[in-house]
Amino acid sequence: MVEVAKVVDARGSFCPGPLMELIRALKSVEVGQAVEVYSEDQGSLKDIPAWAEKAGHKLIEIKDYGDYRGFIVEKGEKKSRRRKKE
Amino acid sequence: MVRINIILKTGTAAALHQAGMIAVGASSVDHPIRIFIMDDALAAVLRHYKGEEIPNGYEFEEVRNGFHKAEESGKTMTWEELLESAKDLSEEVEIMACGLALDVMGYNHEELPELFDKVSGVADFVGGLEDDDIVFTL
Repeated sequence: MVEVAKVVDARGSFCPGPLMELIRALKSVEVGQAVEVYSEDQGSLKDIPAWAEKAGHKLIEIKDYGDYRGFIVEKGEKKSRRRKKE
Repeated sequence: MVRINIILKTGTAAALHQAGMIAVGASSVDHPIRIFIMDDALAAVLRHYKGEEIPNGYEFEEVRNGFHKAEESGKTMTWEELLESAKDLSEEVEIMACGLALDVMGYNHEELPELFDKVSGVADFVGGLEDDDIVFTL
């Protein structure tokens, strides 16, 4: 079971606020730890899973709390996506 | 990696916000981004930093009012916050001010807000484009 090391409440923020909060929170935890971000923004349902996959993290679960959702994302090793320098 | 380039020329809050959204989206997945701010857009940014109002730019009432309400309640990020967040997320965000536009406005290059990384010319900006670059014009 992955450890949720940090919970961030981004309710009340429209896109890209919840994603920005998630990214900031993930920077502050270790690889293998997870962050849960609360969001009531409908766009988060698409943005956060797509971003997590691209950025090399793992979406563990999307919890439905009724009026909002909790996105639990496990921090992965950062993919090397830098542009090649000539 | 694909590099995103934005030529930002429209002097409205709407255009600046759109540039900020693209920038933050690009930098969240490590796409390098360059933003070349020229003409009316540059005037709008400089006026904003002087504390002056800039044109809103949203044409439809529901969009204009929607953004206004969201900004008033702090639900949306401002264009400045978006650009700052893009820079926080990635070291490969470069914001350039058009040297010609600065000159015709009589603006001292040394007094540019910190938002800008450098003053550049269109030849430098366009000349720096590479084969797989994507360019947006706003």
